[in-house]
Amino acid sequence: MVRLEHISKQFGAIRAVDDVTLDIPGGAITILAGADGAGKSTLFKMLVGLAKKDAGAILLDGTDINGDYSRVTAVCGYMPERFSLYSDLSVEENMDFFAAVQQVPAPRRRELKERLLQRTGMAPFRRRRAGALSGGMKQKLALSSILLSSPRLIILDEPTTGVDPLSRIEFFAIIEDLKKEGRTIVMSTPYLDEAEKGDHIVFIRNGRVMRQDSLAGLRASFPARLFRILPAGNIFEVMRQVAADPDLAGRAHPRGRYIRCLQTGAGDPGERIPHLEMVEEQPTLEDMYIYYERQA
Amino acid sequence: MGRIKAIITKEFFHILRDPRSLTLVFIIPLVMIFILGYSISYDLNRVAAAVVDLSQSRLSRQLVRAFAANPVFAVRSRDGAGNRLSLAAAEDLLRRGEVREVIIVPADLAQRHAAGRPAEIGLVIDGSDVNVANLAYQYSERILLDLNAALMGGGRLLRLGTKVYFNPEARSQFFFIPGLVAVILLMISAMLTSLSIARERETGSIALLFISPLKSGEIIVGKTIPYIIVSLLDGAFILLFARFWFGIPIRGSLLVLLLFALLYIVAGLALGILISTTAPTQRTAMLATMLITMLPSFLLSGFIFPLDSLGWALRALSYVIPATYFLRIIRGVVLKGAELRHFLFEGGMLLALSLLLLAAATRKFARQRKAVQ
Amino acid sequence: MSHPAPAIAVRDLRKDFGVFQAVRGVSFDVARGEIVGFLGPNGAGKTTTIKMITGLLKITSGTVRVDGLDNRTQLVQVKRKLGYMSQKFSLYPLLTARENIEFFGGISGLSPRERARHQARMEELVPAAVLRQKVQDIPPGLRQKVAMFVCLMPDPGIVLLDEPTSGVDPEARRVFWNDIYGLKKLGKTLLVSTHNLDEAEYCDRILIIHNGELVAAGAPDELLRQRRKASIEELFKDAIEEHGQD
Repeated sequence: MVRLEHISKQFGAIRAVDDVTLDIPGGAITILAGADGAGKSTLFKMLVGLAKKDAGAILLDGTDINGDYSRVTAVCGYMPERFSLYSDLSVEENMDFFAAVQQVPAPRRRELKERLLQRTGMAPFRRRRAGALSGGMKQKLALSSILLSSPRLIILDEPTTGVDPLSRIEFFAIIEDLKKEGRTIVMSTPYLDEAEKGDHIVFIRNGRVMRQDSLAGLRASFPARLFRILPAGNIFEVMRQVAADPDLAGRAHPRGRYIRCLQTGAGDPGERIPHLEMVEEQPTLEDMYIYYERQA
Repeated sequence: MGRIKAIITKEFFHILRDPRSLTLVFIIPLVMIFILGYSISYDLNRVAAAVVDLSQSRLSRQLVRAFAANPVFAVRSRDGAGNRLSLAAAEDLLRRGEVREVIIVPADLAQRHAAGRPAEIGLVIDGSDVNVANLAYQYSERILLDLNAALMGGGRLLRLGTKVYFNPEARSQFFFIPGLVAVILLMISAMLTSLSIARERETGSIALLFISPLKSGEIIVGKTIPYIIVSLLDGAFILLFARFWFGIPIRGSLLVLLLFALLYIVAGLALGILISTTAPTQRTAMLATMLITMLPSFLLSGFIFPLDSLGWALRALSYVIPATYFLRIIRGVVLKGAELRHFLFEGGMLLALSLLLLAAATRKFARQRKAVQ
Repeated sequence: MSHPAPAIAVRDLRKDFGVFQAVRGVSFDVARGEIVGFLGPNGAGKTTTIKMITGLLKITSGTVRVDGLDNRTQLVQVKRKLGYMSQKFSLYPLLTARENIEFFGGISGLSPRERARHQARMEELVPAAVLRQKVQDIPPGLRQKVAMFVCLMPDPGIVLLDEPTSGVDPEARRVFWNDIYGLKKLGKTLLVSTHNLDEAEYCDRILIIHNGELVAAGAPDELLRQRRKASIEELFKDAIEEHGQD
């Protein structure tokens, strides 16, 4: 639905976004994953016209918007990073305000508001001030407010950062519902376990796209295999041997009672690590992200 | 219109839901007036005076020359058309604040002098500025004593008959407090809007306003209207406090004053918006607003230093400071009972400044918003 | 064993804030040398529990024993055994890392020789250039490292970390856990609260707390097996739903 082509943005000497080309496929969840300061927020801001891009093109439904950002803002709902609504306004007042600003006709506003309040479980709190809501509830309110204009494209900048795990799970359930309604979602997150739920995953580091694909695609093209090893003997002793071995150092890390180790090429790390048990596992996004990051 | 209404409603919610801030808006001015009203004092050094010479004798001309020769006074004895000032014309000058003192030479001066009888020189002083009034009185007395000595070696040929207009009790608070009201009103109104926008910036909600279909002008107008009402109430509140605590009589019409205050407040609110476009947080907005509104309003508006005593550069600057005009208006209306027609120029300047600031604020805001276009 | 008592023993711990019951009768042990993960939604009582263990928050009822010492009657001794990094613990942002270390070393009552030793160890862990930087300019991962180092300067046997990895990027998070294993290797006991469910696997045991009550406790793979769940996320959801939401 949206395609960004060769987008760049410089802040002084820092290349915040460096020649980024990426697709946001329609009706799917696209997740930008990367550390703080990787350029995710800047990219979103350039998409909605809140920051000026130095170079590149934005294509919406196949045609270049040519600087007409109202084409994007007319179809999108954008939730900025660390965004909080008016904390002294109630849930409903916040929603009414944003609906009015977006010129949603009153009857439609009422109907949509009811539906969103029900769907997000906020109906009992409709008169509560936004400031008195929990972190997860605040995010749901922010999401509901931007959904009042029925956007086709939903842009969420780190909506789950700092939100507790239960709320994050609930938040994601809503996002998946939105996808089922045929909407396009693009969001950023620093949590790689969460990014696994995306249809299209984009690793961003230092303003550049490191890799982008589906989870299956990323796994298929990942050049290493992951082994989970239950070491024989004291794990610290074994880790010391691993750290001293130039072939294994940097590829293995302890996790609980296990050592997780990446293996490129043939064979397996079992030959070098004394073990009681060894299983090959699917690498997680975190494994892949860290692998590519160390390559870079 | 519906969208502006949405913003206005929302701003009213903000105002009413935060009783603490609202209280501060009313309490801070009280504290400031209280402290400053009791503590400020200052000196002056140049006084505009008008002479009404009803005698037109050799002696009266000698007296007028004595005043004119003294550097403390800037004396005028003729009106714009070159005619000699009449009593009524001089009183009008005094009321408009163009002169601080009127010297009236009685018609029978020469006769009385010839008969060796003492004559009374009338001195009418604008007491709304106590320091000027005192100074004017003392220098005038001095000049007459010198003249007496020259005429007949120390006797009392000429006597001063002094009348203090506008502030007969000569209380300096009468002069300071209306000025303080002017400064405080500007600060509070600018602070209201600058904080309101800086807050949106801090919470990130401004991004949603930025990308909404709202026009920048609509956002600004919607943000301004609720605070006009708050500021007007605040202004009326401060004036009533001044009236009943310091006992300052409001001689002119409160309605006229509030009408001018409206223009003045709009200038302040627009200034606040302008400041907020460069202030990333509420804290910076607050400090910047205090600095930008208070310092020039205290120093360059004629509040502490009379405009005449400023260098030309600062003097020029004083013309673009809204407080300069509102200060004259509020002193005139409160202390002298001046009317709307007396301050058409000041009112026009306030209107022009308000519109200018509003346009600048909208432009700056729009520019910031359209980072791209 | 010379110390038969667990490092931390919490029994029927409760905390009321007015009518709100933040912690409602929590009991658990943390064994010596163990890493225990403390998981739960916001407001579930993680921070409140940790603060009661440190003695920063008054206990409404129940007991906390640290190395067998009651933290109500022997708080001074208990404090010497504990290292605590609060959720919001921040170094002074305008001071350099080294100045922070000097300051906190100064107020921790360490002897000058001990301080010098710590200083030297920090120089090994963090590049000198970083130590000279103002804390606000140091990347979050390294900043966290310095913060933890500061907490560990008095060399406590038991370390309580309240959400140490929130806002830390993936690579730094992995490095951070490696550091935690380093502490475990030194024989330290760790209680770590976290928002990131995937970190549960790093722990010997996890505690899941919800609405002030423990809803699950045990080794992560053990719990997964018992509840027949494929992931910690499902386990977490299950434990909380079973317990019922408010």
